[in-house]
Amino acid sequence: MSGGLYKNIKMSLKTANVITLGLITALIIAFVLVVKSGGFIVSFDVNGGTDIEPVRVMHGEQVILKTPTKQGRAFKGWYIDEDCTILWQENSPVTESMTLYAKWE
Amino acid sequence: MSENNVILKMDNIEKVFPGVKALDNVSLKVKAGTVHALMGENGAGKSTLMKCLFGVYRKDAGKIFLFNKEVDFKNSAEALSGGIAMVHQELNQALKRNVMDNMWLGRFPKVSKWLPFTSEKKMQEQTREIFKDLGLNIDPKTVMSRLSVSQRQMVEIAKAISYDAKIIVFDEPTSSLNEKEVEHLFRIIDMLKKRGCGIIYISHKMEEILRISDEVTVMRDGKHIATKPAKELTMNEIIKLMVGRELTNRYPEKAHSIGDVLLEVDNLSSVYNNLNGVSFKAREGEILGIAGLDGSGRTELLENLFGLSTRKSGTIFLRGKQISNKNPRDSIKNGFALLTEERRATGIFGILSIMENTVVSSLKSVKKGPFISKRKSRENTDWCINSLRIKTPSREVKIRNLSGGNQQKVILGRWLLTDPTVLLLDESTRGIDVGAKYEIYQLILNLAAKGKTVIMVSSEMPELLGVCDRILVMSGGKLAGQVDAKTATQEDIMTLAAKYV
Amino acid sequence: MSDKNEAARVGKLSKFKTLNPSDKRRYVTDLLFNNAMFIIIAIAIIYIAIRVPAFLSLSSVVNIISLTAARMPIALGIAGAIVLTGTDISAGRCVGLTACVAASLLQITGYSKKMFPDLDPLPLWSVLLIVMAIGAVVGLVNGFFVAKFKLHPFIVTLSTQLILFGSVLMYLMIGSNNGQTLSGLDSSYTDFVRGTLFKIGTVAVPNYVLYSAILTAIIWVIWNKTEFGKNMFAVGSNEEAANVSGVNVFRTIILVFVLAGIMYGITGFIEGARIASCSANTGLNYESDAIAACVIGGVSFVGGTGKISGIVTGVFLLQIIFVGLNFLSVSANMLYIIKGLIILVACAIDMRKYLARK
Repeated sequence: MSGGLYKNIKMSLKTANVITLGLITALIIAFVLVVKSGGFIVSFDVNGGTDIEPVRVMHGEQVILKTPTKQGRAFKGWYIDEDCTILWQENSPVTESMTLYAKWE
Repeated sequence: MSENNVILKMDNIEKVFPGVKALDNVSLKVKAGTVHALMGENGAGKSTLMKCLFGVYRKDAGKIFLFNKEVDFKNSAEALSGGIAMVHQELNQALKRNVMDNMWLGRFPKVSKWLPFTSEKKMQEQTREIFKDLGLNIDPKTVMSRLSVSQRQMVEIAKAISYDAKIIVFDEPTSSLNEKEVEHLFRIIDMLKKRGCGIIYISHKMEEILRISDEVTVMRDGKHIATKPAKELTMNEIIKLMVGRELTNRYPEKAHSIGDVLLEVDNLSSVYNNLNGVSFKAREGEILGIAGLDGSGRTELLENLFGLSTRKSGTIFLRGKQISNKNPRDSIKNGFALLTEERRATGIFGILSIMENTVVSSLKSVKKGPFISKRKSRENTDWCINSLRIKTPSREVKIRNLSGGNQQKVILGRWLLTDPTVLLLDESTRGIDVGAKYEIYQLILNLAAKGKTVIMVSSEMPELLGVCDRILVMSGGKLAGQVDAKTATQEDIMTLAAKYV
Repeated sequence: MSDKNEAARVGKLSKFKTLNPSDKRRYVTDLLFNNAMFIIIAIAIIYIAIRVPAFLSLSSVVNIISLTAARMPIALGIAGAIVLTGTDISAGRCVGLTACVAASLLQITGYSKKMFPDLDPLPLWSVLLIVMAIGAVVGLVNGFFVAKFKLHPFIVTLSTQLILFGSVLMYLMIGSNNGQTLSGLDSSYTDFVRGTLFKIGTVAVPNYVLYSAILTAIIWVIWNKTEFGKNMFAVGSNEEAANVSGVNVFRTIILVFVLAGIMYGITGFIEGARIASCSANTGLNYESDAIAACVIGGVSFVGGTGKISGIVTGVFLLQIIFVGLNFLSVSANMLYIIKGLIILVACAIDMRKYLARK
């Protein structure tokens, strides 16, 4: 009469308690681990220029921008999207992991 | 009364469900080699008491002693290995598996000590042996869903007996059995008595109780009322103890008159069921009974009439106009209603409240504009609760917390709210106590007095003879004959029922 | 009315006092387990608020409310499928498709990378109707296969999910787009969705919060006050009994999925403007959030039960967690693990509730 997904499950209350408790523990552990390894990764797509290593930034902090170089080209700034249409404001706080793209003249 | 051969002692058992106190300080003693009957109205607590014994429910207070040692079974497996077996009222069988799988569920015989594989051969042999001992003629390899309800009940009984238990509880075991099978069961019970088993027998059928039991315990509203030797009791006394008041007649007075032909059915046959060429007429204000052995086509006839099963041939005329009743919705529009045989499978919405279960078929009548009116729903539900005397603390209680009989009343109320012209009832009083049965008979007679037609299937012949005007007898999927309820006897009906077997 | 509540509350407390110790223990255990999710979330919120006070700032709270509003319609749609003891995993991709379609029809004239260069942005109501129609068609297909052929909703919606993904990929190739992300949306569209509803201090509450609230109210009425709503719960509780009782099971199942599809369409319409740049990846895994929210909120997989208030609570709590973790500098990729575990825990608690029937 009670159906749906639980129609064919015959489990004792004790087993259900153990399973639920186990999963809750796993969730709490995951929370702790994930928070401990916190930090957004800002990576830099230099599009042919000198490589720049990704940096780890915490929420609300600013990312320190370095200027890459490319043979015979002028650097025009860091952009949010791959097509380099939206400029990344230098002093904006970081709120998510992201990739910044270099625009070349 | 010697205390030496008391096998089972239940002391001061208590059990509470959300909103209902099901057991209130109940005690029970069962002696070896005796049949102890447990009687009471619906909701009196009989099934609950047994389920506490068997480990299906956890009792809230009290002690249980088996052979003078205290026991507390946490589940049915523990109870079975402890020596208590139970034949349930609501069959819990794996319908897609076959008979021997169901018999040996949980204790499959292995091929040998070294090979942990289940042995089909051993299952078959042992099943056949048990069936032979009990005189059962069923092939162990049959799939359960193909057996009739009464055969399934016999398998359930055989399974309980095969556990070699010292206490066996029968909860309404004869509700689906015919006369021959009931005699068979009584022979089996006799055999168990001689073996020294203690038997607890729950039933509403008073003639049976007085015949086979040694002691009778009566419960009412979760309390223990009395325990007396069966010899000292009469039917009226038991009813008085159960109901708390005198009941002079089992069946109410008939005061209705029968009018013109309302329903005409011609050559009704089903494609996938055993129903062949059934024709009959029913009149306004008539109560038409349908009798017959299990599997004779009674339920199939109602289902076909209601549009639940695929029709091969046949025409239906309501007041001279042909109607198709091609599915339940269509039938309800034509003024038909069907109370099905197995309410757990096809009747109740377990997780929903009483109110929701009651108004579901008549939602259009509780609407105010395009929206459902809660006030009208409440009014209609209250009407049902009062006129059918449904025992419940409120209409918000989930229907699965009610006793079986009260659930049946809710479904009956659901159909009454659709104001049907033709009410089809399939075993409407199964599992319902004497007091409530009378109320339902009265209701049926009231409907007939209003000019409605009631067609009722029942396995209880006294009920058919007491309530109906005319009785159709089905046999082997065909209509074997008709009898007048005032003049017919049970033998007449049985003869017709055996015609095409 | 309040007297009855008072009496009920007093009754519960006195009833608790009369229980024996082992029952008191079980009552408390049940209480703890059933509310475990809420307890964990409450503790997490307190922790985050202490570590990063900005979490409880006005702008942060408004942000959480806005995110809740954005995620609400899809949860309301999926809830119907869960009540029917099924599920709908095509929801996310449907949102993605409708978002892309809406965006493509509402790009600024003269935008260099417009998909349909010669098409002026269409009137908003027509685009809304188009995406609702697309959602309805998806729902119709889902519902038909579930109702007619009795296939499990998981299989049916899995197939539609794949078909929808392919459709999005193909759709993004037409016109002069060639698979690029759609952006450059017309201001009529973005203002309508993201424009300021009202300001609290300096923080603006966007328009779509209002639209979401209206949708929630409409669905509440449908669930609780219409014949269709009652039928939905009956079919979810016991389909066979519903059939005998005269409910049109076939039509009910189809309508539930169609309603869900329409909700996905509306979600896509809002989402297109909200994130302002749609691609084939839009909508990916949205349904996992929605299903988690529903289960946390009491829409159980046992079928036939669920409350709108629970769904709102579920969506809200999930967003609080995700925003909170963001404040703790947890990147979105790590969130997947948490999401998955939350779904498992919510389902385990739910299953335990419906198994504990001794």
